[in-house]
Amino acid sequence: MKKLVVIGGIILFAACQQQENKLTQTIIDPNDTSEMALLMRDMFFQLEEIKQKILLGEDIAQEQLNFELIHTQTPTDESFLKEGLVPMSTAYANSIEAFNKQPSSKNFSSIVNNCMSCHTQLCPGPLERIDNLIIEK
Amino acid sequence: MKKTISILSLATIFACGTPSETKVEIFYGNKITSDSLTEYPDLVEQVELSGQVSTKIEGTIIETCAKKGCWMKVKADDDTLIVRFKDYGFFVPKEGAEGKTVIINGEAFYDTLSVDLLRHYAEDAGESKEESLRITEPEFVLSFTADGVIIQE
Repeated sequence: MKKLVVIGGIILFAACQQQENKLTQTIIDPNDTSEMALLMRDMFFQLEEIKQKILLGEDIAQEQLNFELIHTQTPTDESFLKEGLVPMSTAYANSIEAFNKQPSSKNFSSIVNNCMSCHTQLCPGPLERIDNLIIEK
Repeated sequence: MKKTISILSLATIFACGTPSETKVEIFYGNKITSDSLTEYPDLVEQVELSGQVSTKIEGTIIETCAKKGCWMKVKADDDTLIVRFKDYGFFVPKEGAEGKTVIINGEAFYDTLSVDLLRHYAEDAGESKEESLRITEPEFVLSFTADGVIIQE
């Protein structure tokens, strides 16, 4: 009899547990992603890999970066095409070229500084993320 | 024996009642739980005492960044918090989240929002350049950097 009550209790508990129906899903970006945003995410991941190699003291002499020009990419909307974007995008491309000619920690930092300068003026949201690319002295 | 089974069956029906509605929870960023929430007045007290606290609170979404979904304004009690997302690492819907209950987990702290940043937020929210230029004073506000968000549907 006691056994039956215990079993019944467990069934009762289990039945009630199933009452709370919860549907869950995890999302990183629920919105459409523009060509320009995708390029920048790709840049970040590639630069992050190089930063890790620099921090681990690995040889980066053969590292090469190859990105499209930022200002030729389609942005989220026209408001992202602000004054100053083209010269800053060009300066960024120049810093990539300098890194490709001579891959070094100094030239890597020059790229990151270009990212910071541009985002400080044109779109400050990602600064916190770019900050993670800085190599502490 | 039969009596016991009948009692248990009835107990199950009464205890559980009719099936509840399905609750949809959508997680953004880290998957967090919706329990152990801090009451907003306690949060304010803690931030005033220590400058910055790790916490989890509930509020209502007032608006989200209409351009990228990279920030949101959340009403907690009578205050409005600017919520940004850790390392720009995740986003919330650009539209359609207004009025929904939200749980945010992360760091709360006081922050001065510069005029440039406030103008940027205003433009993100859909205001024209001319409208955003009307902002001429920085704001000292309670800010929140979230590493995980639950929006309840």
